[in-house]
Amino acid sequence: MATLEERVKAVTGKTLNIDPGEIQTEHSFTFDLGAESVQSVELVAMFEEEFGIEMDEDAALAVETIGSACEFIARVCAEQGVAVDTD
Amino acid sequence: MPDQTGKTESHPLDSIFYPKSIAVLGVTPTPDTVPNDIFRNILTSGYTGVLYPVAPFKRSIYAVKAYRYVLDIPDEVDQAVIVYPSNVCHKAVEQCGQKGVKSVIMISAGFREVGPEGAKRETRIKKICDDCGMKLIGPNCLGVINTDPISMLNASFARKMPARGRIAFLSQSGALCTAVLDYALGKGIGFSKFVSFGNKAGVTEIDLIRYLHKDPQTDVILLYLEELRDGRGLVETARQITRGPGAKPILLIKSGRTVQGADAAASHTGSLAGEDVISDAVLREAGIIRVDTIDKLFNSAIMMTYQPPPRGRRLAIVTNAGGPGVMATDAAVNMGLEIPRFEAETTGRLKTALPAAANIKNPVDVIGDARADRYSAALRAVLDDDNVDEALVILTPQSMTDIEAIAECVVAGSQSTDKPLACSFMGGRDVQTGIDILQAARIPHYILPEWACSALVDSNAFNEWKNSPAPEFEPLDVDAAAARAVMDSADEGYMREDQCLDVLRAYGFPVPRYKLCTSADDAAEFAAELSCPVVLRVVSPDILHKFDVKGVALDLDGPEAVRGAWNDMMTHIAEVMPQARIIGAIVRGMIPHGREVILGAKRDSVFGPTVMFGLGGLFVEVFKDVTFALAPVSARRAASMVRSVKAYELLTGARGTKTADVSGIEECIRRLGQLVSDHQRITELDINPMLVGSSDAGNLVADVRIRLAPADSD
Amino acid sequence: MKLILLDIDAEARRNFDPVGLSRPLFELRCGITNLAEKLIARTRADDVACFVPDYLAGVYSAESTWPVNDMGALSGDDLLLVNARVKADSLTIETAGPSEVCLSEDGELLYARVRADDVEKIEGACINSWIDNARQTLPTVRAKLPTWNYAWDLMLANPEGLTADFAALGRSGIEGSVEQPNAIRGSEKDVFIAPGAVIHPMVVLDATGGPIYLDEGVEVYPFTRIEGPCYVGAGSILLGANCREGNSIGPVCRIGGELEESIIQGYSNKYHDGFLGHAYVGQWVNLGAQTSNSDLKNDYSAVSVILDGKRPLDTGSTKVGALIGDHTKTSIGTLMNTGSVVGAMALIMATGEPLPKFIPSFAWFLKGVSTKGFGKKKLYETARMAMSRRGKEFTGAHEAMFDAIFELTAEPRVAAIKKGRKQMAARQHP
Repeated sequence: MATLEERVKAVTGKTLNIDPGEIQTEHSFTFDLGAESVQSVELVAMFEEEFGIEMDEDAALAVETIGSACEFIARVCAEQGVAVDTD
Repeated sequence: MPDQTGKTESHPLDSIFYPKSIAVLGVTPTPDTVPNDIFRNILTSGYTGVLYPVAPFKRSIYAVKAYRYVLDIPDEVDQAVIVYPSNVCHKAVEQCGQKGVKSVIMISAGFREVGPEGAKRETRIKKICDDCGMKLIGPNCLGVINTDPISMLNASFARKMPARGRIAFLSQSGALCTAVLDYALGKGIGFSKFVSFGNKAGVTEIDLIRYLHKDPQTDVILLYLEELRDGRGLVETARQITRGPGAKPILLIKSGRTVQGADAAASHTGSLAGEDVISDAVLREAGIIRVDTIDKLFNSAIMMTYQPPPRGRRLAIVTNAGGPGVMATDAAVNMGLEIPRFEAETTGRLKTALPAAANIKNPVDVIGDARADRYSAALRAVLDDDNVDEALVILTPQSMTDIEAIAECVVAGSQSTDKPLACSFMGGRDVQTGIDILQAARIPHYILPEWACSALVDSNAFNEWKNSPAPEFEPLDVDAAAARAVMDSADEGYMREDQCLDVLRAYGFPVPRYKLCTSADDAAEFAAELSCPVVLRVVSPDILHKFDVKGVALDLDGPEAVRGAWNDMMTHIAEVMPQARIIGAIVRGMIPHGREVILGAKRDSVFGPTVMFGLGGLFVEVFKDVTFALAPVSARRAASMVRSVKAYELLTGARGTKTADVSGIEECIRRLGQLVSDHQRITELDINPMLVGSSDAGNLVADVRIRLAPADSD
Repeated sequence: MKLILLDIDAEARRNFDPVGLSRPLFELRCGITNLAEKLIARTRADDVACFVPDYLAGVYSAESTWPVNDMGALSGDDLLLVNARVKADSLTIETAGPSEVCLSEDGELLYARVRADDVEKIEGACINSWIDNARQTLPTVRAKLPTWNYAWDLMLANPEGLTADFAALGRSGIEGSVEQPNAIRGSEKDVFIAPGAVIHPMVVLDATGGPIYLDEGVEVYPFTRIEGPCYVGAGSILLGANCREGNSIGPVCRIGGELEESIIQGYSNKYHDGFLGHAYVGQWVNLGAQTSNSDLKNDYSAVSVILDGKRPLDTGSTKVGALIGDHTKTSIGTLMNTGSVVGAMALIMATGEPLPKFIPSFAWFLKGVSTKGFGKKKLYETARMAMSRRGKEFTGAHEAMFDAIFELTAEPRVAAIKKGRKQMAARQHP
């Protein structure tokens, strides 16, 4: 199974139409990857779909970077009993 | 300023209004979103420079090559317009600093206006800009517009570029900007520059009016403020702009709020000096014309932009209907214009040109069946008259009124004179074609004659102010060191009465002879020295309201009376306020009853030290008939302060009163201004009352309270 | 006699979603007056108290002068407890008759008439146990009284209600100001323009089909046509609207474009062009320009409505447009299907396609699917802003009420969001 980070980058790439290879952990969704306002909502939904979790939208939308998204999702997965490969 | 013939040296804010290249950071490809709108507006409004969209992972925006970061742009970037979400704006600004961008317009919201988290973000942004020497407009603003063809910049939300004009508009409120642009569009009013400066974290309205002062494209500066932080700075800057060579009028709409730092004051001055009342007085002292509505703002602005300045207040009215003519006359006189008599020659010309039924006195009534020939003759005649400084043409559409021809002759009339002209064609739809002609020829038109009068009054007021000499502040001879010494020994809060009197004495106020006595004998001895009826006033840091505890004894004649009064007083106080610390009591002579005035001072959080004057008692308590000024107060201002209270005539002998020592009052006002300017610790000061004597007898301070800030505030 | 309005059947009231979610059912309007006013008029009660679901009590008791959920109200007089859903017209009982409890054929409480001396004998810690006790101690009768069952019942009965209420209120004539030129078709007796109402020039009031009642402070801009029967509530403004027959517009609304046979509860805006027909719209709703709904199916068959997000309910009528809950906002160009249900506190960004027939409460409809969007807090912020612009406050009680509604409406929303996610994912580039 792909690692959590790989999956986050893959979903981000699909949603923002970017090659996942160009996405780095420290990248900000808005500043470095060009996510628009509505795309942030889409990203949250796609992460939820990918990992089978439910995220609190306020907390999720406050996440700024790929790295902190990985941390956040790992936490939620642990809370909701979803197994992930965090490498 | 851009390099063009006749231009002067460049200015630090040029990169805001005349950027040679702009990068928009945070653009998105989706139409009808803020980032996209801003980019599209710059692109489609005729911008003469180079535009770069910064949009990660996009090849282009509207076919313009896009860059991932501002740092990727190979050329120099003068200005960055930032529309990223607030939480990442600092990254954008950091890169701008590295890039050497000169100015930043931060449209993004989510800063100080949303609370402490946002305020922190804003401080961070400001620091980066300051460190990198970047000029910052915003955040949380609508943007900047410059209609100068050299730039043609529309870095804002406004979908359409406004028409070009010579009026600059600066606003703190974004919402108001769109309303104003709409309003101006409807009236054919153009702008030179238009700025919504939002949270003003970097560039403030003060910086902007300084810039506009030197801007050759701007004749009139309009300002909308919700919040004044540096009131004194605004006043000082405005004074420089509205006087001297290159003077320009500043018209201001200020909504009621100011930044309040201090607690509510216990003194008279504090409670009377509501923010707005001070603001009004102070702004007028700065040469700023304050209005309440957008209508009035533009009514006056177009008069001052389109028409030459009037040399005086003498208005000639030409009308074809008696009623409106009379109403205009009443309005003019009420507002401060004059309705002069014409010279004999003018009367002669009018008599010849007009029918017998016409009224050839001012207001000239050319009567209902007048056509262009009568209007033309009447207008020329009154404009040639040396008794006339400005003219107002009123028209009501009758069946034979040739509206367009009349409008044309007004235009012709204005071209052959250097006196300002205004029109009021009253009739809505019917007269629209005439109004169009006037508008095209820059002749201010108003639906109501009263509005024309109001605009002419403002134009006159500015002209008079502009030509008036700047105030001179000649300090009076005072013992500042002695006053400081007294204050140094006092804690924060209200000073003792004897300390207050000492301070006033050091500053040359008319203070009666007094002594702080520490015993009944001491008091009796001093009373004997004074050899007149005396007053005993207890001094205690714990007693704020002396009368409540019978801490004031009046009209004590002779040492026995004094001794007795002292003992009674101290006994009583010991009963009702046993914990009060008694320092002693002040003994001074009784001051005869008379006219009272109140002199106050307050360190305003926005404007700094201000001074208040009014007649005491009812006039202050009930009628609130007081006037304010900034400290220090010039001799001229002190004189005008005294004369400006409505009850002034009571000081000059009205209703059988004796003439008061008015020049003494004026001097006290100046001394008060000097006192609060010299000593930062004084937060409030009340002289209530000062008894006013005749010119021979002089004035006397009867009661004074001074409040001090903590010792380290000096 | 004291009238006690009962809105205590938690299950039955869900059939009035979404407009019944944030108010007692008896506040719903049909014609000019609401259900409470009709029952009060019918029973000629001296006094009124009410019982509503707990989660509504905070907000409602602040708005109303009646005792709300106060067991102490059940004393001191002859009582007539009436199920708020009972149609007032058919309540032809003797209000001063002997004590009795009237049940429907299904055993639902329709009304209970309890004389003062019997009132003392009945006990109950809460309203439900009090009623149970009453059922046990007092004589029971059965009756087939018609009830209102769904929000669309009110909408469909609106034209009739308007005519009946106009007659019952008995006011007519022009007491406001009507500027010329203007036209009134039909009899001026069928028109009432209340004091303070201002009708601009170039307005046509056509009362030939039914009466027109324009309440206090109403303003009607030029080029508006109002076809009776019609009611416009106090302080509302019609901005060049084509107000076809059968509309009931509550207070402080702004209405432009076309409106037909619809009920708008109040404080809602539909400034611009767009068609709204056979709809029941709540309060604080903002319909963006060109928002339109369909109220008739292509095949003229009966319209079905999905109230709970799952099962379609046959309305039995061919003309049912949309039901829109409080505080919902639609973007420009929103298109709604026949029989649409849009919950409360929803935010719709149109896509060009007609919306799904069911959009849950608190949904952010973005990119063609229901999503969690930017969360509940943001929705509350917008609600607060909208209310403050009309001088009203979105209080803690409001927030608590909507929090409860959030829970009540969770199931279909969660389902829609999950489904939406799948659709979104399927649409993405591989």
